[in-house]
Amino acid sequence: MRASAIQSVFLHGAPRPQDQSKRVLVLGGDSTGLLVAERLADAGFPVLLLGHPGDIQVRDKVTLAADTVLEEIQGFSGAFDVVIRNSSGRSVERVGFVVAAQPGEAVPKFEEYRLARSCRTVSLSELENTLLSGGQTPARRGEWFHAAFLLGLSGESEPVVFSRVLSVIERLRQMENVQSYVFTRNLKVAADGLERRFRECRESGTLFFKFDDAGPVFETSAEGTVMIFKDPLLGLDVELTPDLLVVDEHVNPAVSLKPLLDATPLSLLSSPFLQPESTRFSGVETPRAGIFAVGPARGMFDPATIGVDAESVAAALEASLRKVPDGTLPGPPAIDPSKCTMCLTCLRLCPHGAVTFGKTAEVDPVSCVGCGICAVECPMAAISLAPPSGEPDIDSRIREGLAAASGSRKIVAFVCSRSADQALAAVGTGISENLIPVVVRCAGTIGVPHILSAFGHGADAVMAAGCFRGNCASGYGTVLAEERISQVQEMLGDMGIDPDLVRFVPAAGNTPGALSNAVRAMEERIEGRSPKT
Amino acid sequence: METDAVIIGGGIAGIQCATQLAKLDLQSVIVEKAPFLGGHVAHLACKATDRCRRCGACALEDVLRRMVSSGSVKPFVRTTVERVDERSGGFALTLARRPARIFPDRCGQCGECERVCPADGAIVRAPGGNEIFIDEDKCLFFKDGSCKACMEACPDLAINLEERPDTLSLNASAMIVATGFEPFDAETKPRFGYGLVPGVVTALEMDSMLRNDTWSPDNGEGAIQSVAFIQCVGSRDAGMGRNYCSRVCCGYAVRMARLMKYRFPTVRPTMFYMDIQSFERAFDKSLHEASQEVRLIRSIPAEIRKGEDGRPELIYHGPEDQRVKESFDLVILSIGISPASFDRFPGLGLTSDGFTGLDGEEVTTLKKGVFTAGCVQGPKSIGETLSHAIAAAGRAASYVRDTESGGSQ
Amino acid sequence: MSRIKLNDLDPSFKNRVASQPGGEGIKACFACKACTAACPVEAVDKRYDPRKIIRMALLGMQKEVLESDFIWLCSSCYGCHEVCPQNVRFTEVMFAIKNLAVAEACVPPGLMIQKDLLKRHGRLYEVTEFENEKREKQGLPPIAEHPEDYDALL
Repeated sequence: MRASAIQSVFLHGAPRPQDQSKRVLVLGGDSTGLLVAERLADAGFPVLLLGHPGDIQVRDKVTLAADTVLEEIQGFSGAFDVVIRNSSGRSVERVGFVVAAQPGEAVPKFEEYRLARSCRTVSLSELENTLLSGGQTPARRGEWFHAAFLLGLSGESEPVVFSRVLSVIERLRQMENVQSYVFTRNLKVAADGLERRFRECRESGTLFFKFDDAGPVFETSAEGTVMIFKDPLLGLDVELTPDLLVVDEHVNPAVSLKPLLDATPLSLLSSPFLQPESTRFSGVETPRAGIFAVGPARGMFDPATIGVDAESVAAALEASLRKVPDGTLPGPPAIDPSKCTMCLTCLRLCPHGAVTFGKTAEVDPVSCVGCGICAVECPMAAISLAPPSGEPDIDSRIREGLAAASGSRKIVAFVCSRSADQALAAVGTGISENLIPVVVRCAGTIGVPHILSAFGHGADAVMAAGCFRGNCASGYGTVLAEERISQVQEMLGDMGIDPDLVRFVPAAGNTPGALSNAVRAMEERIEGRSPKT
Repeated sequence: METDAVIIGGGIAGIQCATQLAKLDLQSVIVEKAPFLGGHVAHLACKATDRCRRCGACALEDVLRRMVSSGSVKPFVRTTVERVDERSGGFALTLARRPARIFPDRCGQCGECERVCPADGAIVRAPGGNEIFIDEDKCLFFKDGSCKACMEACPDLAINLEERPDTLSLNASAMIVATGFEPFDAETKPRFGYGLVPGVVTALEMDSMLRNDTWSPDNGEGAIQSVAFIQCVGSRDAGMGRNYCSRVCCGYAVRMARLMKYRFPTVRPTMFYMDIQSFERAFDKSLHEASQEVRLIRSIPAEIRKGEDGRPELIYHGPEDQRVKESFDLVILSIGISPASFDRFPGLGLTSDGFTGLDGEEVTTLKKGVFTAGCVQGPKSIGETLSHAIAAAGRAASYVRDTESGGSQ
Repeated sequence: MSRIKLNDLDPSFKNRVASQPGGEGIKACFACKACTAACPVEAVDKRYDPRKIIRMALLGMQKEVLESDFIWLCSSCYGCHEVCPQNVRFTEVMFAIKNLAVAEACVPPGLMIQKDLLKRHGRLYEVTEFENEKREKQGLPPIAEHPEDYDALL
């Protein structure tokens, strides 16, 4: 969370999790925003719609804040305060949920191709607008009108851009004697119906040039831009002076996503979109509970996903109002106000943006997924993780596990509930009588004291088994666990003990072999180096 | 039995639908014909190398846990739909449930049944390997009653072939068809040598071997080094009436090639393709990385045959504009996706490519109250399937609420 | 060779090929190269490359295609037909192209001789006493020439 937001928490006081609202802020800009707003209004949610001009019609339950932008957001699912601004100034609105439904931003690749924009060299969007508004395409210079489309010659393209190119070619065909050419590398046909349209486009006469290496070079002559290239199939030198040269575009996330990106913990965002590239987040979920992303805002540009996403937002809001308990989630951690020194460590580190500060730290139960990173990192040990449904805490489980162990060797394995524990369930704990599994919500929960405690209570070796890097549902739980393992390794080394008796094991629910192999390797390690023998 | 929604198919799409319905406070029933839930995803390997490669296959275990913990989902495995009748306010289904043929609590997993069974593939181990099932389509007993070898041999008396299936009736307000996909049958394209040339396997077969750690480059006759991936087998093939891109194969082939190379550094993968489809964001970078580890050749081989040394020999037109005959130790066919049968549910509509629903309709079908989720509606990655299922469940939930409130008035 | 100028070529040539019986599939080609790798003629004479012939026709290189001698090399084995994922039916496309070539009077001399032979003998070679004597030794009946069958066909 950025500094200004933290400051404003102190200055103005933040919304509290209990200040619930059903209102939804929809950030739009095109038909997607309207579609989402209408779908949510139908489902009974009052909507505040931003990003549109004042002259559009909206239906009941949708309030249009015309020519208004979002500046800042704070709070929690069910109770967000959003700062919005228009020409007459700023205001703060209370909403329960936020839906990012802005269109992507098209950036033409003129510079990459070293082409100058002119009346015969235009971007795909420009041509679309010309055709849509009934404008004129440039005059033909011969019997045939030659239209050349550049598509993913610099930077891989997207199915949605190819689909747009196909639509434009279909439209141009309404003129007499048009010959269209598409210059590309990897044609992106991975969307519904695209391969079929690709074939129809070829059958209606469009020619495709697919380059593996050097694409065309562009020269300027009196006639205009001349494209010079080797035909990739014939290997012969070819030149084309197109009457119209159409430059493709990158589809980038909207700039107006920024306030939402600022409000999203960075650890989970690997890209400039609101949804991390991970199946840990599906549908319209983002790492921040109560904030949802539709279509382009979550990196999905295929128009087909938009209807699906609008549906998913409605379902997600419905679900969050119903609050059906999810038995897999532990309760949020308890914070002891007498120990809390307001150092803000938990606020900075929470990967889910679940912590806020009033007189003391507070945790939003909807946003918290119980990863336990705050509890381990709190320098005052003021935070304790409530274990799910009355289970004993980690330390008692270590002790009990070791006391009940029957094997000749004792390997304590902390297993992440989102990965390694699932793998263990697939193979069964019977893989070795030496294995003492201790299930934790996230590998990030495992602190140095836990590892030392395991050794202190008689473990011969300790493993922490968590998600592969890049797959941690709490962003950096894996990274933290690996770090702590290496800290303990160093400590063991200093004490003259084999540091490899502590290990991090990456796992996933579908790597049943990972743990059994690691246990076997650790058993051999103990046999080889254990000072007890 | 009454439920809010019945979900046909217990793959990842169906499970996700059920989990989502539970979040929306609705009850559902899953009907799955196989003896276990999870569908194809249950057989897929994790493609992580030194880090997660975002294949999404591990999501299944996550979704399954949520489904179980919700307490609102009743899954019926070994069950098929015999009949669907429309009635006011929903559907009346007749289900046939086959009994468990091997009781897991009695089975000691000694493997005696596998040893005595004369029918290939009739005894199946579940993904993970710790449960054994009988495939009734392959078992001779269910063909003609001629063999009970496993039942007689089982030392734990855990096998029961003779019990009859039972019939269940189910009323549901809505139905979600999530029967998933059928992998393209590579034998119908004999020029790629599947079933004819030793050393030619499908990507799904390879995936399952990688998942279970049963594949190693040391095949007993020397190490497997050169591995060819053939893309678009049964995809982008108008000649076979399959004029669509299966959308997932470029991703799974590249991920699999990189995984094999990571686990077994002697493996040298080559990929034969037409156009590589993006399967990650910032795909330029991914593709560049992949090209450092995988030899990429833009050409589809004309033929794969048994070479003189017994290895599969590919004949293709190479990048140097000449015919190449090259032998590989292993050939992996990236087979495409076909919709799994949904012909028991007539009137749903058919997209131009033969999937459920209508072109441009995402989760609805021609029939009121019937929704569709996952690959039966069109090829999808695991991530896309999860999103699609959420939407289908959302739409089904609104429908159920509308009809149930309408019915009570 | 100097550069091919696409602006000077005739984009309608591909439509003319496609409008010939058998030529319909030409525009469906997406250049996967399977036909080239399957072609037995390409294996011995690289000038005959199905995918390149399609390409030249699609680009509108009418003269280069119709006046070439390589279009007459097709052995009509249908190997390309077999492997094509897009149903281009290239063997038949070749018939279409050859028909166009004939219409443009682009026929190699060897073919004209064959035509004359057909007209005269009803088959591609003359059956003489020599052949019939040999046939008699094998116990086969003699063959008579029926050039009129050929005329009837036309």
